[in-house]
Amino acid sequence: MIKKTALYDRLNAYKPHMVDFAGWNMPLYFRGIIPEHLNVRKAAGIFDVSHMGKLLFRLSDEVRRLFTIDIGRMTVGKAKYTMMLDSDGVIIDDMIIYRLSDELFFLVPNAYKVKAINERILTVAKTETDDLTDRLSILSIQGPRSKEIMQKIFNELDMRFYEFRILKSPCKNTGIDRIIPPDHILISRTGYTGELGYEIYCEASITTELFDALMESGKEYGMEPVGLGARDTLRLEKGYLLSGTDFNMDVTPVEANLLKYVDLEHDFVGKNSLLAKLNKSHMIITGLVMKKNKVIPRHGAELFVSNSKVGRVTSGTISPVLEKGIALGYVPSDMNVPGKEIQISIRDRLEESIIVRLPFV
Amino acid sequence: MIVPDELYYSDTHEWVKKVDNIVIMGITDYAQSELTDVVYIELPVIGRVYKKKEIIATIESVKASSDIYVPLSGKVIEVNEHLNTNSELINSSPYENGWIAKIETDNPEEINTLLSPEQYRSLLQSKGVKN
Repeated sequence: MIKKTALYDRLNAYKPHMVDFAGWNMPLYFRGIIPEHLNVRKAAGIFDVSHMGKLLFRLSDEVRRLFTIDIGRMTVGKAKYTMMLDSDGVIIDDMIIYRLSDELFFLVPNAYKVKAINERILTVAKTETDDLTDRLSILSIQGPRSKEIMQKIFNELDMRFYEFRILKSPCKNTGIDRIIPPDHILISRTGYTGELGYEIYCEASITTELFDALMESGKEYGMEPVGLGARDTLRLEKGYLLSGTDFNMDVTPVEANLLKYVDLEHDFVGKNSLLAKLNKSHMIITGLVMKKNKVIPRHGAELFVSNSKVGRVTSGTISPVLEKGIALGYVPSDMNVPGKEIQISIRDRLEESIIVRLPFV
Repeated sequence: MIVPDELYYSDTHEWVKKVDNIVIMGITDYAQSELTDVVYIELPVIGRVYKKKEIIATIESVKASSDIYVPLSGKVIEVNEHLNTNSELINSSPYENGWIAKIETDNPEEINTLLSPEQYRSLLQSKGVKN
C-alpha cells in the first residue's frame, strides 16, 4: 500500500508530477526540476519531506554503540549527521539525530531504511523505539530567503547549522506527545540543499495549516513548492551522498569519504573493520565534471583511465547552475587528484571528465 | 495528460500528424512529463531514411537519457532546429512547438498500424495515468 503524506491533497492542487518513492507517493516536480532548483538557489523553496523516518528512543549503552558518533556526548538542542554501520563497517544508512533531552533522542533515517534501522535499535541494542514516521510531518524551507520567510512566523531563529529549537507554533494543538509541549513545534537549521534552510517537525494534523502560513509568508520572496527531483539535483551539486544510490550496503565511511562523521575515539559497531581499512589503498568517492556540454553521466556508468576500467558513477545529472554534466563516482584513492582526467562511458562512447573537489557549486 | 484527437500514437509514446504525404512527429505529453526537464536532443539526420521503430533521436533530460523511435518508415525532410537552442519546448509544447521531425513516408497506409487517440488513452490508463 502506497502511503500519502498529510500534505498530499494540498500539494495536489499544484498539479505536480507524482512518483512512488520508498513506499510513498511524492511530488517529483511541480513547475519543472530546473526552475525549482534555480529558485531554491536564488530565493526559496518548500519541500514536503514527511516520508523520512522519525524514530524516538532513550539513551542506552547498547544504542550508543550503533552510531559512528557518541550520541551520549551530544549537547541537548543540537543535531548531528551520523551513520549506522554493520559489523563489517559497511554503511547501513546515514541519518540526522537530535538530542531532545538527556535521555531522549529523535532519529531521522532515510524512508526506505526506517524498518531496518528500527529493527536494529530494537534487536541489536535491545532499546525500545517509538516509530512516529506516520504521525509527524516534515516541511523543509530552503534558500537564501528562508530566514526572512520563517521570521514572519517564528521568533528566535538565530540558530547555528545543526542547532534546533522548540518554538511556539502559529497553529493550535501542535504538541507532539512526550517530545514537545502543546502549541510548540521543532525547528532545526538543517537541510539537504547546501542553502540556508530550516526543517520543521510537526503533528501531521497541522501540516496543511502550517504549509499555508509558510506559503503566504513566502509569497513576496517567490517561494514555491519543490519536488524530489530538484531535491536530488540540489544535493548532488553540493556533493551530498544519497543513501541507496551513492552507498548501498557496499562501502564503509572510508570509501564514502565520510570519516569526518566518525568518532574514532568512540566504541561503535563496525569500528574494527573500519580501522583495518585506514592507511590502505581503497576506492574513494569523488566529484567529476564533464568537459563537454550536453553530455550527462548517469548512475552505473563505468569510469576508465587509459582504457582500463577504474570505477563507476553512483549519481549523475546535469548541474542546473553549471549547465554541465556532474557526477559522484568511486575511483582508486591514488587517482583522486583534482584535475585528473577520467573517461566515463556514456551511451557507448568514452566521454572526458575531470576530477574536482566537492562541492560542485 | 493531453491526447489530441487529430493525432496517431505509438506504444512508445511518440505522436504523428498526417499532412498530405508527409507526417510530423514528436513525443507525447505523457512522455515529456515522465522524462522531466529536457536539456538536450540529438536530432535526426536530414535526408536519412529511417525504418519504423528505428531510433531517430535521443533526448537527455535531468532524470534520464531516452531513445525516441520513428513511428513510421520514411525519409526525414526537416527537423525542428529550434530544439537545438531551446529543447525545453518539448516540455512546454510537446504537440506544437516541440515537434521533432517531418518525414516523407513511403507507405501512407502504415499510419493505420498506429494507435488511435482512444487506444492511446487506454494505454495510458492501463499504466495508471489519471486523466
